[in-house]
Amino acid sequence: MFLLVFIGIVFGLNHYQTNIKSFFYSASNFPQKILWAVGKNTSVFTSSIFSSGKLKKEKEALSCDNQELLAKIASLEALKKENDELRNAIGAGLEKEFNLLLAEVTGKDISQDFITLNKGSLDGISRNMPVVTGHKVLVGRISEVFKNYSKVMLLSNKKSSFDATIREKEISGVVKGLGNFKILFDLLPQDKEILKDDVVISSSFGGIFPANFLVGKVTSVKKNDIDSFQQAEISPSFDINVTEDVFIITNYNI
Amino acid sequence: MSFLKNIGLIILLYCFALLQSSFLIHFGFLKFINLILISVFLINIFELPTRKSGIFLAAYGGFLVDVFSSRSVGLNLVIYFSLALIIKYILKNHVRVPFDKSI
Repeated sequence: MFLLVFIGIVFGLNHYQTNIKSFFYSASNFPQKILWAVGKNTSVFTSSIFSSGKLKKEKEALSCDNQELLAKIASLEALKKENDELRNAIGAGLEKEFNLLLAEVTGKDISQDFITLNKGSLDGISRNMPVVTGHKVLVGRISEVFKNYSKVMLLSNKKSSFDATIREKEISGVVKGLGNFKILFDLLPQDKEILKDDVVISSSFGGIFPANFLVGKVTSVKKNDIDSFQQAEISPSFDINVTEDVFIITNYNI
Repeated sequence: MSFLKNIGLIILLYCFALLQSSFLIHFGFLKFINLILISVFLINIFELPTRKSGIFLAAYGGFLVDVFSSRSVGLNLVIYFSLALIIKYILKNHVRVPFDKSI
């Protein structure tokens, strides 16, 4: 008898889970916001203490990178000017292309690659809307919507899969989440040469995400003569520990 | 007294759920520590095997884990509840704690 009542309660909870979760997220919004901010600041402080040895090496590497980037900026300035002129000519600014809604990150799933945002169905959010950062970095897409909150399935979630490309080399493939903030670039042609630090950007081919958003950089390539395709591991460009605000693209939906 | 203790534990478990989902997540290895599971273990181990409040606190802990994760509500509730029942069963039938009455 007791077991039947218990099973009934579990099924009941499951049936009303959207309302229950929505209630708990609403009630916990304020303390979660504070804990998130405190946790972020504390982790930055403690990590800086523990990694002081690494900082020197990183500084040297960064100063080298800085020199390289300054050279690139100089060449990009000229391209930007040309691009701006063309953009003005055709009237196709990015802000005109997408409707963006700013949202705050309020929590992260303990075991899976999900984050919680403080915008929900009342703000016009619906499932599958892409989530990006202000620097044109792809974060994920809305997987669950509550009244005032929504869950974002990160690119690194095991269920995430979408088309992407390495623009400079015209190589297309499929980006798959491996879980625990790891991403794999799969189904890459064997005849193409992929190198470390190649930049992977999203492609609108599958219709899941808009094109030209930064996904990450190639960290290692797995090439085998027996396999039909090669694979590459990507280090995602988004860092959820640093990211506080994200943008939801509200006019791009599957 | 027992009622107040249980209310205190209910609030404590809720605080642990908030800590896990918003605070500990920022720290390297700490994000893998499940405070609610540890609490459920300790509550059921240190409670008298004849008492039932540990079992209901386990179900509540599982419910909180479900609410703050993306899984369906009920899965962890059942797991935690079963875990508490198993602990109680083992403590009641297979463990004898020698009590020194003179202490």
